[in-house]
Amino acid sequence: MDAAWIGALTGSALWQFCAHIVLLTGTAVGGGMIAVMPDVHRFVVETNHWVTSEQFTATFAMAQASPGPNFMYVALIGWHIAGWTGAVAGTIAVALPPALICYAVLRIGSGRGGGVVQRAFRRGLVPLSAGLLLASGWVLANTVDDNWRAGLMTAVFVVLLLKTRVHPLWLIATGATLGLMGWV
Amino acid sequence: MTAWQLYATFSRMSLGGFGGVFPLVYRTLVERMRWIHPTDFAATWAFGQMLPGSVICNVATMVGYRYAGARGAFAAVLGLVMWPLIVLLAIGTAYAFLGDLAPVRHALTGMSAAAVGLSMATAMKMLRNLPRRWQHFFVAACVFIAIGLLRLPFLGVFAVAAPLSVWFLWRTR
Repeated sequence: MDAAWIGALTGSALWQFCAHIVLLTGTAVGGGMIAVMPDVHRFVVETNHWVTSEQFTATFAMAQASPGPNFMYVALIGWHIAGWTGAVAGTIAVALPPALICYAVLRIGSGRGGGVVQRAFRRGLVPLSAGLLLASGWVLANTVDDNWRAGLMTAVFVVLLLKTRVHPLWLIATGATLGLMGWV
Repeated sequence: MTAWQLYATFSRMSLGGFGGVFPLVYRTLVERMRWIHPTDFAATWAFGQMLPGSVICNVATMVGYRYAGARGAFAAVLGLVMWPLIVLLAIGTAYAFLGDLAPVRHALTGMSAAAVGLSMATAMKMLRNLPRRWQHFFVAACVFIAIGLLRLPFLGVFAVAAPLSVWFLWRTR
């Protein structure tokens, strides 16, 4: 199920990576590409060793802190694998197939099909997405929170995000500052 | 509305959208430009969530298609990803040169700790909005264990968990 056979046909790491991303976009319903991040990590870091866990985590954090849709971390992983070509290919892999599917659905016309069934389907996947996001946090935490202070910082950020309406970017900037000061 | 205008608007939104583009898309398309009625936007968003892939990408496709056909859809999606990609390439290049320096590594560790918190908080917010039934938490916990702890491939987990998850919600609705 890893799309490895597609890569095996073509033999290149970049093709394998893109094929895997395309497959994942096909299942990213509800939670988006952030939710499938653990599987990108598994494929890229654990199975193929194209990127180290530290690089992956840093990449993810950098993509979160820069402007644009949050699925763009995929482009930066592509960049690690194959430079500029990889970044462009990763972006196409993550953005084009869903856009084409969406376009096809619009062309064929929607609106038919029971609203209740659609709603049950969409809302029904929320627990799945929530579990995936928790797993995302866990996978990243394994790389980052190897000392108690980073762990404490993560915990404080979670509480702040849940209890206040603070913008996530402020927390990322705070994290960078505290890191720079040598606190974590 | 021309394809060019769509490209320019989506470029501006994606470059201004730090930590996700959604709030900015709503403010721009609904409140400032008044291209879309709020109810329409909610429907567009819900539909974008149902289709595979990134929601924001689907919304760009739908909005672009509606105002300028296939060219508009392409222009909107291009605007959404092109400039962030250029910014990320610059950041990636800087990381390649500076990534080994101690202060940069420390700052990135701090940023990563914040990104971890972000993922976890989003997950908890999603769980908070669900009806309080043990089944939903059961599915979320199973997915967490399978993907996070056991590191099973996602596609297999999805094939089992998705029907189960939908079925539970169907029964308890």
